[in-house]
Amino acid sequence: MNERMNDTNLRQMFQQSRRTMPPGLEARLLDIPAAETTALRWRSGAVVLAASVLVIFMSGQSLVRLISLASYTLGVWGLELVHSARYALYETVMRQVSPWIESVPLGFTGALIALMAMSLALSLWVIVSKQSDAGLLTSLRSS
Amino acid sequence: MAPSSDAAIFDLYRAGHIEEAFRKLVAEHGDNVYNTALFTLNDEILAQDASQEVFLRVYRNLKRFKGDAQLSTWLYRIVKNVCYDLLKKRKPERLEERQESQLRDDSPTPEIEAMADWEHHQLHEAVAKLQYSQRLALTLYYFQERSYEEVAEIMEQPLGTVKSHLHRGKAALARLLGNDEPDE
Repeated sequence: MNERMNDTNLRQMFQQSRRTMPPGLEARLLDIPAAETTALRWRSGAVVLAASVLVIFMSGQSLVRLISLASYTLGVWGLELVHSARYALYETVMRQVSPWIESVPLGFTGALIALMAMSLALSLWVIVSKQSDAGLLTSLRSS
Repeated sequence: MAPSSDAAIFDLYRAGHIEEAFRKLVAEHGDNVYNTALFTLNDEILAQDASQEVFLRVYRNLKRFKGDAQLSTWLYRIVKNVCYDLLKKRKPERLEERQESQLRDDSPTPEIEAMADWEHHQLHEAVAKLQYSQRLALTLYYFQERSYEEVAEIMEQPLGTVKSHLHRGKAALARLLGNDEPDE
């Protein structure tokens, strides 16, 4: 470091500081095509589902509308959730506690889907019972 | 890094062997992208995130690459943009934590001593104190051994501006590393 800096010294210093990419990062990079293909598949699925729902909606039956709305919501939420949960796991948790989380990713994703299903059930209940927000709150309090 | 290997990768992609082309691109440029991010961000985790984001953008946008510039020039323009975005987004507390820990103790930790040469750590720390354009210019010029013209093309700045970044960056680096003045 005490040598006077010229281009050759600097180049040498920079070159000697070269590090090899961590193996975990390399695996993440090589996983990109597969992950992107999966994401594309989910999105295509959601578009197809949305198109189907649109057709059913136009049939005019209210029950059919409701069912299609539910399936659409379930489909899109489910697909997006699984997709984003996969990334969320990878990005935030897996890196920190990978030995532990690698044994339970399915359970974690399952818990998220269960949460989503509960939220969907609640939404459906609200729609079916045709309650206003105030009415819903009263029902929840009384139960 | 060699244009011929870049051309081979691009040919492979155009022939429809997308995954193979991508694997070769990672093998060819992965280390350099990671090291460039490490020099410009001086943060291991951020450098990994930057590398992932770079290759994700490359994969998504490769179909838009027309081959009018070198593949590596295009790739390192993405590196430049991603690292800049990450630097802007970097949480202030993280930066403050670093600065506080530096104030408390500027000597090498056992981890640093064990992991890498102390001089390399000093170089990374010194580069991190430079302006972003200077960091990037120095990394491209000295680490990747690119010409002034290539650096200017990647940074999308005039040649004179790039030379100025390099000159000023080198002078600042000399001061930070305890050298009086850089040799020309």
